[in-house]
Amino acid sequence: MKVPDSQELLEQFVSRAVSLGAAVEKVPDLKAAASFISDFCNQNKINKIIASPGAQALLGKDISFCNPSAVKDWDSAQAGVVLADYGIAETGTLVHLLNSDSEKLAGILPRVCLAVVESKKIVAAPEAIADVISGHLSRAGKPGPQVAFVSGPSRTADIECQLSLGVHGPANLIILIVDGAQQ
Amino acid sequence: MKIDRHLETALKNFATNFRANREKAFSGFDFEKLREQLAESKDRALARNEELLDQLLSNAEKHGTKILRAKDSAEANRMVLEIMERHGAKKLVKSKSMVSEETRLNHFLEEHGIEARETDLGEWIVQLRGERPTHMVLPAIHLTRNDVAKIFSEKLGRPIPGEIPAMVQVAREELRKEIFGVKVGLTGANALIADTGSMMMVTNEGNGRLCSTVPPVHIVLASIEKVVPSINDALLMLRLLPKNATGQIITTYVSFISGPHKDSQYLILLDNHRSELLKDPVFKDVLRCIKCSACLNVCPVYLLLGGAEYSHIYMGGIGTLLTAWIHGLKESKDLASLCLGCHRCEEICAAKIPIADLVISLRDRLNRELGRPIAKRIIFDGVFSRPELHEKGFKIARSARILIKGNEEFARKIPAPFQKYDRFRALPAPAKKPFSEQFAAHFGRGIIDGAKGRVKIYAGCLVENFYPGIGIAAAEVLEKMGYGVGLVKGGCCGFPAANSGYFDAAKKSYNALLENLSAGNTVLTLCPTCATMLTQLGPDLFPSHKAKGLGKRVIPFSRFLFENEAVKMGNCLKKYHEGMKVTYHESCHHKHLLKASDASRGLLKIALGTEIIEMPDADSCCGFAGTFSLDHPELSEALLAEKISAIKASDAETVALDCPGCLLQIRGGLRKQGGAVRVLHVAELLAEILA
Repeated sequence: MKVPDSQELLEQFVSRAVSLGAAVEKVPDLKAAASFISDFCNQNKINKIIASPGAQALLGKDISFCNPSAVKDWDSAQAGVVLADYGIAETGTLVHLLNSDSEKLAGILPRVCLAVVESKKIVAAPEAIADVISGHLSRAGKPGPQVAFVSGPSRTADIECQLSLGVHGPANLIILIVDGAQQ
Repeated sequence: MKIDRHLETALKNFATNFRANREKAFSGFDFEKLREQLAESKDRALARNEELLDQLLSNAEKHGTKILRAKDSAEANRMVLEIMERHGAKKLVKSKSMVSEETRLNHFLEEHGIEARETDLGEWIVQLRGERPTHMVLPAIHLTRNDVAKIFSEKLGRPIPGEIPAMVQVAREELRKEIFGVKVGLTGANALIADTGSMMMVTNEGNGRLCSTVPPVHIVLASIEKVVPSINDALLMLRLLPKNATGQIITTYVSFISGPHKDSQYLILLDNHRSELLKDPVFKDVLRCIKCSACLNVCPVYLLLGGAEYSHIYMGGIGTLLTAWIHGLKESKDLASLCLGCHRCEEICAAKIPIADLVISLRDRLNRELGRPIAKRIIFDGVFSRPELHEKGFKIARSARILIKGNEEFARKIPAPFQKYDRFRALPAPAKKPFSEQFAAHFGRGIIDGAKGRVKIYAGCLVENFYPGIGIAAAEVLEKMGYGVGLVKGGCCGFPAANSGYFDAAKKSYNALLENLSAGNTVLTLCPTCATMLTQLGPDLFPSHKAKGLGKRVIPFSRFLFENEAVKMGNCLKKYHEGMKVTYHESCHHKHLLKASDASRGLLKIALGTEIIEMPDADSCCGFAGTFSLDHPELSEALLAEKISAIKASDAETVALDCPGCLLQIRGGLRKQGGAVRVLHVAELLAEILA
């Protein structure tokens, strides 16, 4: 069997993610990802977000962040911004290695989620990162480590088998793929 | 048993979409290979269950997870209650957990003044209505949008319009309030990973992630068979589970969780007789189940009844087996009679569990441990297992034929108390002369070798006593193809007794018949059920030297002709029956166990010189299924009605099939309704066409 090259993996990832209802944008670098996100927030009148520490560092101080340790503050977040650790081409899945409150909650709480993933981190199948997942889950410490696979927006078909998005998690998932080849 | 027509339609629509989506999701994957791998992976894990649990415990404890082992439901429920009390919590949010249904946790907590709130949308709706889920994956599939709007309006005290996206938004807001306001969240687990001390959980809505992370205390309630050695086993399961459950390539969320996020995490490991089941040599395969529910989506009886009727807690055939161990044999007794034995579930099971065969074995165990119904005891132990008595019975019936028959083929209406059996289909009268006598008169005694040697026919009870014409037709066709034809002497193959769980009687019949099969001839069968008994179920249940290798020389009539005589047959057609409109009904055992319906279709195409007309859902069961149609006439009637409307929709003039049981059912049903559609065994149709 032919091993797919990185371009093929990227294409498969994109087509799967889109088929699951995610929107996908390609950007040349992390800086471009940051400016896409702040433009997106401006256009959609989003002025408070919840972000993982990595995403917070990327975005700088232009946007106000809610405090993930304060329950009262959670509902005020209009969007979540996260950096995914891996992508899985087979299923169009984002893989997040999680520890802190904001890492665990930024991707699931608000109705909109913007997730950044680097194209070089897209693998063919989950088995390719089995050791990484195992390693993360074995780490000691509190809060306990989690790994989340996210494939498209939150969905339900519980009423009359009709698909509806955003029942608990985001209704909109926007994936920004940082791909050097875009330059 | 109650059939709810709205639910039936909803389930069927879902099942149709499910089949299409599932096929798409598996494209590019080898399902057979994957499920073989999963079955092996689960078997390996189950063989080391206790060792893996120890490993899980020590690794989870390192993460700060507190482990509790519950031997039964009562203990598990008390553990949850104690945790609630320890944390001063009055309310619990839950993300879909089948095990908590198994223990009736919500009910128990309610009795102790604690509210348990389901957060999966479907489960929440069902909970608000005070009902039980009707489907494992789609708990509220029995409800319309208006039913949901009504209960929302009632419970929330404000009018909620019946628009689905708006109601989903209402659910989001209401359930957020619940999840954010409580101290304790409870989830199930799809797998427990021993070497990292973690749990894996799949959801589409995201409520699992919220319930496990937002409340300060997280309880995981899981049964002991969920433990697997490592992440790779969990990933293999993940590759099959969503595709087989809903036809999704993957669920939206998959969470792997090690240890508490905030204050505490408790892992309650429930046994509920599973460690006994693990040691059972026959039934242990049941524990491979990954709860994908694909078996339900293809089950004809489940699709009629839904999960509230066809369950104790766990649903369908697999649920019957789980019930027998978890909730006790007694609770599984009525459920065990609901399996038709069509074996569709086994073809789709992600973990290759022989569900239908195990239900048959469960019936044997039920008979042994809970006693045998007297009527069946007389039939199977008294008559069926004694060929001479069996024969005598039919002799008496034949001499009373004048009293039984209404016209040539069908019986008179039967007396009032039994009318539920012939209300929807005319029952056949016993034939004037049994097949074996007619054959002897027709073909003389002794076999003369034809140009191609000799074959023997094993006709089976229905052909012998009710439909000798099928046997004669088969013999004529074989002679024309150049074979010398003989008969296998002997009585019943043992299937009816085995299927009803009378294994002793079945073994007697089966072994007696094997004595007559010992010569080296090819044996052709006219009934797929006899064929599966001879070559599959029989050797499995009653292994012997003689039973071994029978599959090689006991061959269904249609397959034998298709594989050996296709060319010759094409050259001896009396006339091309061009314009003859024939449709084909796939009998369950012929298709799902013998895998012979493609051969039959190929044969018909050659004989007719044209493609047959396909009816919708040609492989859905006609509702005969042997004693099933006597145990559950109302279900048999409903399935037959569907089959007849499919036949009518095809606009065919003739229905061809391979099973005399289906023929009895469908011919009898069409007879009741009037009309000119003929129902013929493939042998009868060929005899008509061949010169």
